[in-house]
Amino acid sequence: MKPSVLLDVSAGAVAFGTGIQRVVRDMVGAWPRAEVELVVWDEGLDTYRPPSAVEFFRLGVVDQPSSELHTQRSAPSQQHSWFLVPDFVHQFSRSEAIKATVEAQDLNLSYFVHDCVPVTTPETTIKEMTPAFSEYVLDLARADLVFTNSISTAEELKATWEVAELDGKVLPSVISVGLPNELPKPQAGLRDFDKEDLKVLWVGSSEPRKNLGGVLFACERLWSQGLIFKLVLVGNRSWSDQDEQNYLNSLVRRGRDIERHFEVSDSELVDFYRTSDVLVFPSLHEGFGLPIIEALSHGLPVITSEFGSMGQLACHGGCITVDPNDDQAFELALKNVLTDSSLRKSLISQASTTSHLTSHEFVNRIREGLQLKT
Amino acid sequence: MGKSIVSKAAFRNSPQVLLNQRLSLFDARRKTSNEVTSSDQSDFFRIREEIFALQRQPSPDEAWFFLQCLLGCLPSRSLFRGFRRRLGTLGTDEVMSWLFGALSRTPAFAPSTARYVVSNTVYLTNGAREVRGDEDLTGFTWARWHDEWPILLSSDESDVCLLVSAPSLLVVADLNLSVAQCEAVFAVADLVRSELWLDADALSESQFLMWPQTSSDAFERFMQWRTIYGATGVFSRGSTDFQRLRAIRKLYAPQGPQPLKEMRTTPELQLANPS
Repeated sequence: MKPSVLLDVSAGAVAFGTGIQRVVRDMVGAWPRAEVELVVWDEGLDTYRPPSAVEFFRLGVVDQPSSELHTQRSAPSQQHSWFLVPDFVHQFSRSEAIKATVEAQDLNLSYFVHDCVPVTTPETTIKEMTPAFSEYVLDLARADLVFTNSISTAEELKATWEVAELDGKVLPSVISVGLPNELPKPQAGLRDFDKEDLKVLWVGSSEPRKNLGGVLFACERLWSQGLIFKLVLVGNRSWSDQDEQNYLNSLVRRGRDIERHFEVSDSELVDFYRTSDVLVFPSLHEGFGLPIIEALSHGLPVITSEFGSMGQLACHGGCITVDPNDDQAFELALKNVLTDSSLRKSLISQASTTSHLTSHEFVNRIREGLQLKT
Repeated sequence: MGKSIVSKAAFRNSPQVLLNQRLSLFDARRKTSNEVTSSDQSDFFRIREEIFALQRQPSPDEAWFFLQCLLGCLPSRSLFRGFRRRLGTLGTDEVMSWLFGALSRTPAFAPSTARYVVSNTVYLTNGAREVRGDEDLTGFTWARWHDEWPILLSSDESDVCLLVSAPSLLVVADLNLSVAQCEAVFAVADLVRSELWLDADALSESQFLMWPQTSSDAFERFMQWRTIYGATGVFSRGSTDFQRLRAIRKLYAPQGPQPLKEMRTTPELQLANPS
């Protein structure tokens, strides 16, 4: 029997888009069709089915939601060897259903893990999610193989298992495969490093982990020192961001040059990367940090955090790293980038030489892990 | 070391008790122990904005209102962070003198009390229990060796007392901290850059190091581990399983592990080698 995969795309078949949705859609887009069967869980989370026409559209499989594709429930069309779950399973019933499916069909089970934030940075999460994550960590330990998006996430996951005192048990291998960058490629040539109307870009949802408050604070201090630049905020509002929102409103009332954009498309996002002069991404913790490689691939310098996955991405060039808890250090880094055109030129040059995974390379790394591809 | 330092009689008459009495004057304004009303929050932000927009010192009332918010308002970490940001690039000493100068002008803070509060060591105990003898004396002994009167705090007063005391050494006596205490501990350690030591004698008896077996305590457990990450070191008289503590520290390796100092703390050893 040819090895093949049941890919649980429930997280990618939804109307909104975060990093997790993007990863699922990248997998769907790049995986050889004959080797994978897409499934989503029904509303009761008691059985899986093929995606509906709308869900296929959301997954990027078809261009129009009305395309003729099957929507009825059906048993898997063939025997599979792996069940791959590429998102954080926070529903107990779905977790149980996955385990039952794997056992009944004698499948190998694999997960793709995005971060361990609820354990390592609980103060930035939704409190109610942490119990589910606690269960999820134990589920991961019972899998056959686990993929992560970064070495940092892999280290955290293995340490979490150690704390859970699962030492005596046979734990799955953990393979860090990175993440792809599939935004449209920039035009050839270096960006203008010597322009005067400078733009500072921030990309993310405004959850506490993203440190929007730190960004606003640094910008306000630089504006009050007389620096002239525009701050462009891209991304939706999120939980526990009222303090940042109040501060943002007060800065806007004070006449500071700030734009905010919600629900941006990929092409709009590319425009922001293309027209900005620096990405600020001083997140308090990340599993990966997708905006960093998106910015670098467009030759855009980045100021980001010095540790974890962000530090690992930054070491390839084009970045200045800081302690995100040190407001003064971040302010100084931003000031240097805004006031020193030779520094910008150097960072742009470095950024332009960084290389990034394509979706096909990303999926092939997973396929190699699953021994579907040699 | 003498137990008389922490005898009930001594403690009853300590300036700490006086301070608690002062604090109680303001209890009526605290709507609950853990939250302030939205009106209070609005006032807090309004006053804060005014102060920083005008670049002026807070009035005593305003300073006290700040402290009340910090005491009663639970998002302590974000609040502290925002608070520090509004203070701009002032150093720790300036921050504390800023607050302290304002507070010293309040009738509620008698100078003698205020002077006492500026201690170099704060010993945070869990709950309102009193020091019970040797098992709770590790950090206390440490502080005494430095010829300091440590401040003994219960959870109720911890935020405000820590804030005004600017400790250089913060000892957490009990690792089974509440979420609010965890937030207060690392917010304060972050704010004043104090050394944070954990007194881990009760570790092996606690649930602290076990993976959360029920969903309900997962968040609290993870917050406790997070507090360990922020610690400088751990005291133990030898009963502690340092190995398990090291495992927890590994969780934070990608964030930049801070070397966890380990000190076995028989009183004799500690007095001989306090650093």
